[in-house]
Amino acid sequence: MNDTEIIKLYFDRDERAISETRASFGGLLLSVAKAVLRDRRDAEEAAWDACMAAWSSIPPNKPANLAAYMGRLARNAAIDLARRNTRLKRGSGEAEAAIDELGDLACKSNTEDEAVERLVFRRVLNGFLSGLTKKKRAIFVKRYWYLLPVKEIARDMLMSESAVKTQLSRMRAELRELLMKEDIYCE
Amino acid sequence: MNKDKIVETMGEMDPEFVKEARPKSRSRLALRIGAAAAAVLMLVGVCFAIPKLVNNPGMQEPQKPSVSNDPTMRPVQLEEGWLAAAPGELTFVSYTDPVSEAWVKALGERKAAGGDIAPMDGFMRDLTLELMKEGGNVVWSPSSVYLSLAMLAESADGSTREEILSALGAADMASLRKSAAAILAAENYDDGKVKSLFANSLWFNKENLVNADTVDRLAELYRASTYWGDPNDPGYEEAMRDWLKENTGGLLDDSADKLEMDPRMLLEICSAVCFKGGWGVGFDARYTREKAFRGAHGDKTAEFMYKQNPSGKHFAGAGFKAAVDSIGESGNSIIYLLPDEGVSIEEMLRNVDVGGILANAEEGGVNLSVPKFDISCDSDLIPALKGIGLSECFDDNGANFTQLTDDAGVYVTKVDHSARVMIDEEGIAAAAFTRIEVGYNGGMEMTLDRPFVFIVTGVSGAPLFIGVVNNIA
Repeated sequence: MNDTEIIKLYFDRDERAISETRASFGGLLLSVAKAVLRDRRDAEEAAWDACMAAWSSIPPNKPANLAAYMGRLARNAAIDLARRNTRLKRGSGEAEAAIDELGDLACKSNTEDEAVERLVFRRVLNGFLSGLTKKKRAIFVKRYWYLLPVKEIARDMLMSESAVKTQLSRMRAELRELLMKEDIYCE
Repeated sequence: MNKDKIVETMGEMDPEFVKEARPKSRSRLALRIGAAAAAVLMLVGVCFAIPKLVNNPGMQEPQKPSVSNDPTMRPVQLEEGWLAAAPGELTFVSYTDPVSEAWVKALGERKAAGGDIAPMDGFMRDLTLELMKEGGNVVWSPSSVYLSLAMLAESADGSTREEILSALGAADMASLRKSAAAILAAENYDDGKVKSLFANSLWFNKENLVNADTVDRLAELYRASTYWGDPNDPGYEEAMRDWLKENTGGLLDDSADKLEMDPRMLLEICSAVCFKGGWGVGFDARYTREKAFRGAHGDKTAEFMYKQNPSGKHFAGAGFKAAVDSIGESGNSIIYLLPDEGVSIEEMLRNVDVGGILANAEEGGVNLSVPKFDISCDSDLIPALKGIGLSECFDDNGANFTQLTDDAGVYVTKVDHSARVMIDEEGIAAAAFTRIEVGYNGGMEMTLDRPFVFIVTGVSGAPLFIGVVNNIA
């Protein structure tokens, strides 16, 4: 079943939408969630949560790229589950370390409109990523989308862990600088 | 925007970026690690500590964990499995008398895997003529240099790559890969009569970013083992030398000991070959006699071996004669080329076509009188490679190695080649290695190993101290 047909099932409120989503994207959901949670059972739970989130959000949403949409839902579900399990607060995971690093980007906003804020952030983020070399971008995405441990990134990218940390730190600083150039953000 | 919102919004990265950064599959890597480790053990005989994560029942305990305790010196594919090396195992069928069906089948497969040697013919001739300009004996392994340059071409792009392809006589990367694969498939074996083993390795500087796809390709296509460490660590440098010694069967230990890793290196590409075999028809030591060899720099007495080989072949070319003598039972041979009186070696080489000689040599036997020799050469190949048209890869500002790294100022800093061939009544032993160092430009070289002056200056530039160092206390 193709993406359009699956999305139609959601719009028709046909529960087969869930099983078809799992059939098409089950592996993707599990791998994304497992990268964050490092535990298969938790990852399966997050994958299920992602399907539920899809059921709740389609409609009104009508994703143009269902795989990307489901991947994002799986990531968010995995982060939520990790938080529910209080793993992050216990300081047990690399995901927590990655999330803490993103604290470097926290900034005040001049707008109350969250949608606008996210829109600007997304535009700056994707603009920043598109300007990076493929390798640097991969490092950034592996760390802050997949929330992978530095060690794993170093292994994938053939680098030392210290080199990965240095690159990440520089990229966070560059991204923050770009964000600060936007009117809606300030220190 | 607070941290939680940032974490959530990070999830909205462009799906294409998310896709291209997808983590490697762990299970796929685990499989490849097993194959890589087994192949390394089988082919190279270099043994390292095997990590716990590798669970391959076919693997053996390490025999010599010489570098296992130093994390900078481990082969990464064995340590953690992030890079694959030689896919699949190499298995060899031993020669028996009478020959077994399995041996005949293996030989047939190797011969079928062989490629067109014509492009290598030109490369061999051109580079030999360049090396001859230095005078003295010349010995080198075209196959080893060819494989090394092929790996270099994989790392290069644009006109830098085009130059390498042209020097190697390859129309494009596809045909180069085909030729390299043919060498590795056809000439890599040990059947008890002839040992002909090629091994390739890559030595990375752990501080630098490199394109993992290119590394994977080198590992897969060239069976290259990959190592990762700090070039400032003497142990890492030593590990590379040990690898070269192991893979040249101990024939080039002194040459390997001379090699150093530059601290600014990004990658060392190493290719080694070890070849040993007995003659198809041996020389009878009873006929060995001392005789004069009329050398380029005067006569010298040498031990001449003699044999009558009824199955030997001969060929008469334009200005030279050739005798084809067999090694082992698999079709290896040594071709002796003797220019006609008055014809120079250079002139003769320009007319030599190895494929043509092998295909057209006539049956009828040969009676050979050959001096025993043991010749070896340590060569800096850069001048000779420049002579056959390579230039851009040596340009510290113009070389394009973007298949390997996005960093600027990366170029080939060294190309070292050592080879040795020795023959006696029993057979032939030969080995060669090529080491190509790719590194970064920048910075004037200065070694203060003779009297010098130093001045310590203050923030204003005021000279706070001056010293003249004539002697070190």
